Amino acid sequence: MSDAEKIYKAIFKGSIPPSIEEKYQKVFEVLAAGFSEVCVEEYKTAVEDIHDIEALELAGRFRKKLPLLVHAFEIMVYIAETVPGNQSEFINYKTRKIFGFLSMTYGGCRSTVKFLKGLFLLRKIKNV
Amino acid sequence: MFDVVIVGSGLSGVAAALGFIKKGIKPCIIDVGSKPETLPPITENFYEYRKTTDSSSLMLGERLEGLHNLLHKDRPLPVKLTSPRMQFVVRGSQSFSPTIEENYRLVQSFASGGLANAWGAGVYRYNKRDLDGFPVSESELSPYYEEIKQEIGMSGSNDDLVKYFGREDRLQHPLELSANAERLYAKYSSHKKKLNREGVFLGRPRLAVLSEDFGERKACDYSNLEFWQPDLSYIYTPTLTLKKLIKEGKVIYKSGYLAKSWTREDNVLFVHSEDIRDNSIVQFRCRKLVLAAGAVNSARLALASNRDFQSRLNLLDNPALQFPLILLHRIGSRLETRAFGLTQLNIVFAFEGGQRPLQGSLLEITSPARAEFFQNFPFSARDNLIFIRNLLPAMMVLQLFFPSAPENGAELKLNADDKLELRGKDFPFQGQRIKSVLKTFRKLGAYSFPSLVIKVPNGFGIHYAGTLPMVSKPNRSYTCSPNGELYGEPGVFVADASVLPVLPAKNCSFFVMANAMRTADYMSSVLSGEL
Ligand SMILES: Cc1cc2nc3c(=O)[nH]c(=O)nc-3n(C[C@H](O)[C@H](O)[C@H](O)COP(=O)(O)OP(=O)(O)OC[C@H]3O[C@@H](n4cnc5c(N)ncnc54)[C@H](O)[C@@H]3O)c2cc1C
Repeated sequence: MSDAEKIYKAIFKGSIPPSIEEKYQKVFEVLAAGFSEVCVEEYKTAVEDIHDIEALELAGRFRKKLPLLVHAFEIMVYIAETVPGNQSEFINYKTRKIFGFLSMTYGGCRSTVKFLKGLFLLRKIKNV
Repeated sequence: MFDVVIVGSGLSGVAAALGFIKKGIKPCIIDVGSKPETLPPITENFYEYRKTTDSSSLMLGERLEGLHNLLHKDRPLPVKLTSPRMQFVVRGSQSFSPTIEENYRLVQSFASGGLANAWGAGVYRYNKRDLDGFPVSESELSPYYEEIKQEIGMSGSNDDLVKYFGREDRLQHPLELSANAERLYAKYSSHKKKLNREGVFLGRPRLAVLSEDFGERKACDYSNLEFWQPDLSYIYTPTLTLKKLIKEGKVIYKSGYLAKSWTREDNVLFVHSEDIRDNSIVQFRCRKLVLAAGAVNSARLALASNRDFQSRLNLLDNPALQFPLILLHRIGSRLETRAFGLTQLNIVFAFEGGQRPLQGSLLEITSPARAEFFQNFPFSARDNLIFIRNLLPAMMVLQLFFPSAPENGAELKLNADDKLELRGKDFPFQGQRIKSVLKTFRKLGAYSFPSLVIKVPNGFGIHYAGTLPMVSKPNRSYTCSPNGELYGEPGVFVADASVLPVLPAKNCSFFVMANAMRTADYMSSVLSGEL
């Protein structure tokens, strides 16, 4: 699985559309050029060795670690938003207040677990 | 030789041009004049378009330039200016006017029409209090406001904010409110007496945005395209006037020229300019020169013409705070895909103790990309999307402006290597103020926390002013007379916001346009020998 595919899956579940993968690769090259070799190495290790990179990214974001991975997630979100098939990932087309509250509560709890897991996973990455 | 050369085609430049044309003078405008790429305009609603079309070219650009702030963290731009079709507004600014910025972020435009290609179109008269220290009165400016209003078209209402914004006749009805804004307004109406006693006033903004057709310009269609598409005809921009004046043969527009300095021989002014196509130097000769290059670049021209690499000039901008606000009962609502994506309401805080009031714009956040908010939520990537879907439709942003004066403004200096040095000072935002603003919004059913309030970087208020202030009796360089003439520089006049000695917490462009026209009126009388 390519790093783009892995990151996309971590955020959106489904498989990555080729147009997104292509754009991601293009931007990633520019992005990575602005980071040190160590950061690029960490990124590679993270996407190759760690299964739950969603958890890892969250912990990295809070702990100010793995900056390239954190950026990569952000970039993927920007690119993915432009695809018609992804609109419902970003936009509520219907008012569902109770469902909204419940899913946010679920999201909050899920993220707490992910964060703790991410802290543990951070320790697995050399140099971090 | 031209009677008049105006440097710049932004709001101040075109307002000055209108003033000359009215008096039968045909001015020459010289301008760098970057233009937007000629791409087919999006005519559909932003969200309808995205449902069926891959919007990467609109939102990210062909060269993925829409990701500017992610790829160039050291040189971020205000979000609206990162949008690919809007980037022409700031294109090339570092090469045309290189800067060294310390605790400051300058946004410069060398576009035809200037910064106002991307502006929020909030237009507010300065009242007596705002003009305190300025040697021109409200009544002297009044007729020019009327003429400018005729040109730009204005919507709004004479509501509770009349006290601060003045009464405006012949306004188009205000734009439709978003559901969030409607809710805030309703709450305000029911708590009005108490809030007014506390010095809080809420009302509809005055906007150079059309709610009804106006000549050939169509009314706002609530397409949410404000961040993405330049030249939306319902939002006034100076290019509308400029194109019309060029077509009617009323101005000579010389684009592609970067003015570098001026010199004088007898009564003739020479504007030394660089042709940006081949870097050759071209001279424009004129009897009178109008500086309308924006407060920073007009100051640069004045310093460069004097070869002055010592003087430090004041540079004002409104310090600002951004408050994200959540309307609890709207959480989980559908996103309002049909909306006006800029200012919905204005709020004025007139605190006790005689200080100048604070003014805020309540903005809808329906126009920017949803991804823009991704990093603002503290959850995992997938869960952040849940919050983006459910929380963003319930959110607005308050951009609260503070007044600025030389003691808390920035400093500007020209170096011998042509770089402008800018040094910002941190504004003392008082925690108590922030708390009382949050308390007010709680009463209106909108919630936030002090830790979520964002300090807008120095310079990102983008209301630059005060570099060549107008004083009643000028007696030193870099000040101008009540008619706008620069001290020690006969024939050189200033028409942009450089002339403001202090900056009230009120977007300054409507005032600047009226004052530019007033200056042009005076200059026309001098040229025609009346004075
Ligand atoms: C996102 C955003 C929102 C805003 N919202 C509002 C608002 O709601 N209300 C409000 O009042 N204001 C607002 N502003 C600020 C407002 O747009 C500016 O204050 C105003 O446009 C300044 O006009 P200006 O003509 O003085 O200068 P500019 O717009 O800076 O124009 C300068 C002109 O001079 C030319 N120029 C500069 N130097 C040279 C040179 N050396 N040689 C030749 N040409 C030169 C440029 O090409 C350009 O045409 C906003 C700005 C932005 C970016």
